Amino acid sequence: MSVSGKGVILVVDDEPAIREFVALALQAEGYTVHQAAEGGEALETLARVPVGLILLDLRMPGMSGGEFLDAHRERGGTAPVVLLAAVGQEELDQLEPLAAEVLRKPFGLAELLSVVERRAT
Amino acid sequence: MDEPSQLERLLARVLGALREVVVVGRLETGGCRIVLWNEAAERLLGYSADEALGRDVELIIPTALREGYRQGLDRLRRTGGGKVLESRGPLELPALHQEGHEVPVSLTLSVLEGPGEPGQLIMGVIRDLRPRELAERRRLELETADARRQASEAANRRLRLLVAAGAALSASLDYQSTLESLARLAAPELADWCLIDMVEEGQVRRVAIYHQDAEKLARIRQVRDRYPPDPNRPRLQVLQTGQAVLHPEIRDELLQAEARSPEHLEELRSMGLVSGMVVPLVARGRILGAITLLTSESGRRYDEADLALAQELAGRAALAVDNARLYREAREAIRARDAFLSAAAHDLKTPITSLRGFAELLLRHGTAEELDSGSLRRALQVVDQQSDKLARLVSELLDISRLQTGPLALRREWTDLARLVGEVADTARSRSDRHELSVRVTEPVRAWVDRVRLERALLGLVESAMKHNPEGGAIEIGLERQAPDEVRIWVLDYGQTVSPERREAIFREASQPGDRLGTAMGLSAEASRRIVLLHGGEMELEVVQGGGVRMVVRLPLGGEPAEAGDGR
Repeated sequence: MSVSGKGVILVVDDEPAIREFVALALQAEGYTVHQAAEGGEALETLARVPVGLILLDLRMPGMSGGEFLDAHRERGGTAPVVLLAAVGQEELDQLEPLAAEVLRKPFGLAELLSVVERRAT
Repeated sequence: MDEPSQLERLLARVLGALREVVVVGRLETGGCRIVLWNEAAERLLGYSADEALGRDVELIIPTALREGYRQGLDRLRRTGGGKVLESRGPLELPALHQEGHEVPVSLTLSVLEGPGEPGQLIMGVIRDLRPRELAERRRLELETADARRQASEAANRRLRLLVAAGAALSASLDYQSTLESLARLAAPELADWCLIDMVEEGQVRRVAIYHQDAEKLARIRQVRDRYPPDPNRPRLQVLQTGQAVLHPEIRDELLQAEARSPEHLEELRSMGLVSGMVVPLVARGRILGAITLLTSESGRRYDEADLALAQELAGRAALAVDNARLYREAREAIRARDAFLSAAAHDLKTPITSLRGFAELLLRHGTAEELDSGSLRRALQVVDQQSDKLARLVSELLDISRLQTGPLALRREWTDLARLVGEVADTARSRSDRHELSVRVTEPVRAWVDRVRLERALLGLVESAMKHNPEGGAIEIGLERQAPDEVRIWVLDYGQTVSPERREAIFREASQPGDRLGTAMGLSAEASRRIVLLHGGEMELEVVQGGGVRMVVRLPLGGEPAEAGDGR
């Protein structure tokens, strides 16, 4: 749990630079941020700590974003998911209904903060 | 002139009633004077009895024949006539009409022995040959017209077949269905049986077989399933020679040569084949397949004209198949381009996102000293790294698009690959502190390569290994001489995150013909593969027992064999 009482966020992306940016940005606003480089690691984190919001990259080696979403729901996960998407609309169409919202890369700091503010529980 | 005797008058009356032309001439010193000219003679030759009687027979003989006529008369006088004339059959010759034209006639001559004047009277019985000639001409005309009609019908049938074939061939760009409809068209129009075999990736495949009788078709299909087309049998020799073959008659020896087993031979015999043709499908100098046309119950025997038609048909079919292939390739290229652009966009958006994000973070917090110095430093490091990554991605992107549109010129130079591998490892270490990189190199290996691009290709493989092991781990890059002129370079990781099977599937997908970009491979790995291919090498993925994956590059050392081999 964060000191300031703001939510706990899990960011799942295979790209360290993105994870670091998101973590730094959200920590500066008082959120607690956990990082995972791929789906399996993310599921492990979810099993360990309560998470209020998941920021999820779609294309990752290993378990893809879509597969992670399925596994997350199967395990009864309730945390809302925001997709961090760099893919085309076609690929997004299948997954968007499962997500609370979509942040399209390259998203800016203001966009990130506003979406997290709205969705974090 | 003498008064006609009673006999002469009687004779003249009888002859006047006859339909045959009868002319009697009296042999005289200077010639042969007409003494009898019946009405039929007037009808045939124009002269009335008054005009003809008393004139020389020469009157009705065409100029060209008069010399012969006179010689004949001389001979008659010398021999005294008699049996000479009668021994000869009817003569066929032209007679001269009063109006100057010639009339084809048959002439039978006989010597009439008048009282006391043996051999003096000669009778000619003349028959008009025009009706016979007319009939003959009519018959000939009829025959010609019939032949023409038949020929024109055949030409029409051919034209209809070719038009229908054209329609069938252009109806679809899917060559399987195109060739099936062609087979249905050829049998029964041109054959009882139609078989189409195509060469696909070096293999011969039966794409169509057709006979009107569904029962026969089903039975033969069963046989054909057991005996797939064999390019080494006589029938499909055409796939090697490219020469059409005509069998006006299918003999048992041919079936024996074709049969794969006694049972197969029996099946072939039971088809009751009569005649056959095998024509190649050739487009732009390549033999794409063959059409086999066979007759059985129709009893039809093929000739050269049928072969020409079959070749015409095959030519059109080959063109259609070739068009379908070009279309498929074009579509494949468009799909590959779209996949490429999508992969490129994805890969480019990632560094742009972090660049933009860190820049905004610095703007927002950096100046207000809200970020501690560690975070500030880290942010600037990321901006620096990501700019570098972006620049590299852009040059890879350019390389790949140049590789796609045309040959990319390699700037080759003599390079020590062992040193290059070491440098790649150094660069990779600087990019990740999660991974442990080791180098396995035993000896210097000189190669004639584009040093800059090859370094980028190997770095791409190491980064791919890192990417598939996001939590870190050991990665080995190694080099060994495989043959005097070939070297093997590998990048090995013991990744557990992404299963080797999955990575193999990803790699296989990325290496599909048509150069489809496996998007999951990322731009880097694809660029690596293309650079290796450009050097005449190949790249493959090996699944390592106990987990892990080894990306292997086999590279020819290049240059002149002497230079590459002396180890300088």
